Amino acid sequence: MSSLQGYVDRRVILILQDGRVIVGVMAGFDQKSNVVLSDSKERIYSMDVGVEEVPLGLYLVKGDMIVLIGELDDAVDQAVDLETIHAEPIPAIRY
Amino acid sequence: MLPLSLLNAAQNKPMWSSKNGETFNGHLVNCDNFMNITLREVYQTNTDGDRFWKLKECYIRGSTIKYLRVPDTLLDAVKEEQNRARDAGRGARGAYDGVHHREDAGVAVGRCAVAEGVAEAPSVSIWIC
Repeated sequence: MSSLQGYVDRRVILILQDGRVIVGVMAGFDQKSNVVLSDSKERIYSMDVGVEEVPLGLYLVKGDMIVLIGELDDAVDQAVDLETIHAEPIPAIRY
Repeated sequence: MLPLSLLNAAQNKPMWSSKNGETFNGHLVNCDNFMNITLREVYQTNTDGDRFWKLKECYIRGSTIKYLRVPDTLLDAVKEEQNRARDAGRGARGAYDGVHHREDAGVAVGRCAVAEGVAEAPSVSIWIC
């Protein structure tokens, strides 16, 4: 059985069905993959300006919305200057 | 920490929720295991964020919720309460089953955090799709 337990208290990146990207520390999860993130920030990508980080604080994401959860390598992540990153935002899922 | 115990602890606290990109900011009155919630003193915002409505009370079906934003202070409150409940469980359990004691403790988490009141009423917000 796959579990999110290994991600608890780690910095993770979440990609959601509406294309949003959220990074934060996983504070908890449940059987439906609902996830609690502490100290979370949304990363907004665009082609015109660098990546914008919007602080969201303590955030509860419904499991239904989650497409991907990955562990962030803090050292590598901090070495990246988000200001210099220009990228297309991830589009929302189309049914 | 379970997402629902956090939500339980958020009762009587302001919160934001969202539906179709609409957001609902208000005080959480109650919630259940489906994450159905009732809010009081609600400010509803449309998808574009340019129109606002004020509602005395509203009910939101859990399945339509995308995200909830809850006050940062709740995290520490819930963790503390869980530790306390666990320690209490250890003392009381003795040679018997641990399961029931632990469930009791889980319920207590929400109630205690509400009773003690975490700082000044923080907010919870909900996005609904």
